[in-house]
Amino acid sequence: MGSALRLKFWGTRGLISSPNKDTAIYGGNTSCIQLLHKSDLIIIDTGFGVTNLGEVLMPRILAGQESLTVHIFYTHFHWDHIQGLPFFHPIYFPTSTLNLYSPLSTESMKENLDLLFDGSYSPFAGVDSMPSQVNFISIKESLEVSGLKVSYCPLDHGWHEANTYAYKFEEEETGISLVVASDHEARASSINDQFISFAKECDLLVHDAQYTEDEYKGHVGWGHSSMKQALENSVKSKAKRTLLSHHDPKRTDNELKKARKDYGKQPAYKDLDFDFAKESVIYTLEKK
Amino acid sequence: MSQMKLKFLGVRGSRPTHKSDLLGFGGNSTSMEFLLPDEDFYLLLDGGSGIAHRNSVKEPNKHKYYFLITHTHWDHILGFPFFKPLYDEKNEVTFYASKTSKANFNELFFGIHRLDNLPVPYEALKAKQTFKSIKAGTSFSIEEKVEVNTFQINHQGITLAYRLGYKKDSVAIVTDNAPIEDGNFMGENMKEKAKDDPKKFEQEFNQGLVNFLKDCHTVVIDTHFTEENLKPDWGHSTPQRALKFCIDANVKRLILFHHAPEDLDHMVKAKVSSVIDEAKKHGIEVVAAKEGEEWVLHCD
Repeated sequence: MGSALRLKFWGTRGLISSPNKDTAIYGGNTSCIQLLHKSDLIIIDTGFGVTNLGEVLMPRILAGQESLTVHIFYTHFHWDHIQGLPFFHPIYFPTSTLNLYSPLSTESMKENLDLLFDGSYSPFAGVDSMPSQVNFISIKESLEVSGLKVSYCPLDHGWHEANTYAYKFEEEETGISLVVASDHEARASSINDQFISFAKECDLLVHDAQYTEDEYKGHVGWGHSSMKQALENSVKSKAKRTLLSHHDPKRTDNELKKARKDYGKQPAYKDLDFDFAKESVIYTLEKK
Repeated sequence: MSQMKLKFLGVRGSRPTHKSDLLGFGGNSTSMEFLLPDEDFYLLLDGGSGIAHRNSVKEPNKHKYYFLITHTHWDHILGFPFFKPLYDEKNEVTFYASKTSKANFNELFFGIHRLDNLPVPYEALKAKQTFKSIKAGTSFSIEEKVEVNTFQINHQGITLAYRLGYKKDSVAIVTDNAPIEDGNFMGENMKEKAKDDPKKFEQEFNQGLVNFLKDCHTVVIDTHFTEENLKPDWGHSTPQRALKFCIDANVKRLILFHHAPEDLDHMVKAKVSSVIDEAKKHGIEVVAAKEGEEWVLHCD
């Protein structure tokens, strides 16, 4: 029986939550992905989606028989990728350990998260004041978690030096690979070329596709891709499967369904295995 | 006859949330608008995620916005960077708030726009902004049209309840507010003021809030918890506590608000059911705040 890497989106939205009946299928929470591997808890970004995962973990925490270790990889530290952390239940329990990873220095990571826990904006006094054990880990070139090799590559996320990274998770036994590029503007650039090599022939590519073609024209340099740019990156990197994410807050379920249909008809993408990421759905990657 | 209506833009406390079985009441965090079709300004309260999705009524000649801020915890302010009128230089936006632990309100806004967390510099907010720091207990008016009274409630820092009067309309917003009992003094300076005679302080606070709400038509109160799961030191109240204030103050309508993010639609409905019989005995209507819903604020 082949090994499998599964992932679940707890948040698919960019910028700000958009809870609404017409976003119910693709989701209304901000960015958060969980990797399900060997019963380990691995999370990419803690937008508000992570809070729903926290609720699900409560019985395990309250049972109290095991200490809970959560591995959290940050692609970058914009609000929509971090804001759920103070509301993620495990952070309130001394039996929990949160390992926070990023290519940034541990000092920068802490500084970038501290404002969330600032006394003016929250009832807390800094990330260090939380009851759980919080460890900051700066990734050098790569590291290993849960039998997965984790490496990273810089992305193009707009005019500001945003220090945004793509992650690659490779299962060491099988070579199954997942690449997550949640916030990336796939315009012609050396950064994009480098990223395409990084994502080469991955089993699943998760890629930013916030804008329609028309919207992108008014947002060049804002650090997000159009749907078409994302699909182009998928073709160029020969990803075996692609999930488009970071949906614009105003994008409705019907618009995303229609976009899937329309792009699927275009000759360049009709053989491509792609979809828009849906919250709560579990996607499985298997070596056949 | 012109009137003011209350419209809920976000009804959740703590954080916005999205799950299919809670969208009946809505998932956006705290914010509301007081609709004033006959006035040349907009009036809103708090800037949770609800204001990011506000469908602006197209009134091309209105360029003045007023915000009443209860306090500056994330769930009450995280929508501001996505509130488009702040980016338009034609607009004038005035914020009323108590002092915060930051030096001033500008600094607080500046903190939100920290570039590593939000790639939009604060300078991009081209609207003319005015920050008015108000002390609890003071009264003022918006453009001499809407009378506003304030009262410090029991929550971290200095959190303000607001009571608004406009022609025949009256409404008060009490969020976030923990029960004051057994020495649960959460507000800044409350411990200090209560230390000689805590019981007396509790009575004075509760009587003070009743006086503040006296004969108000509609009162919106934080009922994050139930009596069963109440954690008094988390800064929030229950439907039973809210109703007690409304009975004592002769209020006509109680709107339960600041729904916990974990509360599914049926749980919010159960909160209404838990007090509806008692409320009826006193002639009080009880409903739960629902995103998008509008309320008239006087009796005919």
